[in-house]
Amino acid sequence: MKRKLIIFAVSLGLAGVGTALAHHSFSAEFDGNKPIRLEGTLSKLEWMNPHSYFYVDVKDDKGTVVTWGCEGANPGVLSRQGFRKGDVKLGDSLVVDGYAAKDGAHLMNVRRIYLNGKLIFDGSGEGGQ
Amino acid sequence: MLRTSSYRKWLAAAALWMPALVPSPGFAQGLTAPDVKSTKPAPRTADGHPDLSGFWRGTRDTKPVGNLAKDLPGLKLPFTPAGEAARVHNTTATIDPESLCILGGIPRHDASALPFEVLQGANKVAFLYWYSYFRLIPIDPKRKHSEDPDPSFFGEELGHWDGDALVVDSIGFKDTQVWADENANPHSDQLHVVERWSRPDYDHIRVEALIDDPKFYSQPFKYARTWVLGKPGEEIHEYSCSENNVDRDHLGFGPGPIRPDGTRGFDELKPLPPPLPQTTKK
Repeated sequence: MKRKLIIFAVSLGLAGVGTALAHHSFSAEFDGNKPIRLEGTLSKLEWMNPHSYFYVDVKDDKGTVVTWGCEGANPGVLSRQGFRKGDVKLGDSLVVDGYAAKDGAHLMNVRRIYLNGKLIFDGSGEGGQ
Repeated sequence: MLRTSSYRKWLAAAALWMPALVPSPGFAQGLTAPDVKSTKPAPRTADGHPDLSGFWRGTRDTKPVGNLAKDLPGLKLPFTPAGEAARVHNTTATIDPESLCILGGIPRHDASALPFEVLQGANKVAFLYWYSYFRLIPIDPKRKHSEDPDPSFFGEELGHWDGDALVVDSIGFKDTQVWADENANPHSDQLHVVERWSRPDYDHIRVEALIDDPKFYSQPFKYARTWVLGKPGEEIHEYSCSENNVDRDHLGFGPGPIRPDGTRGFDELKPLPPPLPQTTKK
């Protein structure tokens, strides 16, 4: 498994350049005022279009498991950046940073992924297109 | 554990960390590219026309991306009252058709930041788009538009050469489930687009478009754009849009906020939680 860091984002100063790269506008689904960090276990990976989805099982303080769908770029974009589906596997311990869905669904837009504490994907500089 | 604690503690820390995580302009995105200076002339086909074939990426100098008003003063489109009403409808009562896996068509694709590929033959030219759809344009100066073409997202497109420019004249567009650009600007079924595609040198393709839609715009307006040639071997890949469209039931109306620079999106996102400490750097 690769351990390299994938820097996916454009810089803050160039954020507008990324406009229209996404299949849908960020703000049509996600809230830029709702940053969130999840810690859990990868339970499913959908390496599909129009977006990849990393499903992460997260336990709350009472031990109840909630599955979050974490939206990434589409496989064509990720693979062009060097991020492969084999870079993570089911059961991996992940920390995922991103922005939560506006409608309260357990969905988030991924900006960072840590595997066993190591940063393997960084889209933190991407704007909110 | 799901952490939902207050962000106050890490706001300052995030502000300090973010610059360190911001990549340099040399990042290898692959979808857009810095502009380049070309020293080679455009290739030509056996019949002497410029060969537009290639994998083309938008340049980072194209601003604003996704906005048909890019070349107009104040980024203001000349809406008719009906056009303004259509704009309001699109932004407040419609979900982005592309996010529902409906074809984007033109002129939207001329404004998109996504790469595309051109395959040019003697009598036809194909434009292949990121979302695995295409337009196939006949090159025939004798061919005329149909009297009543079936409405489509790319319109009825006719091509002919005018010197070194491939002129694509298109009418017969759909007027529902269409956004004319990423910002939800509208077009009607009266849309008439004339694109002049050229390859000024080996590394660039350019379009100069005249967009006329008397129902929604009080006068025709121009849109011009240049793309740069991709790397050898780059090509469009398979993209099945409706394969797993998790988002479709969670999408709101419209494009979201439009920034002062004319692109869609948030000006400022609330900072993410502070990055986890890393013992090694790559």
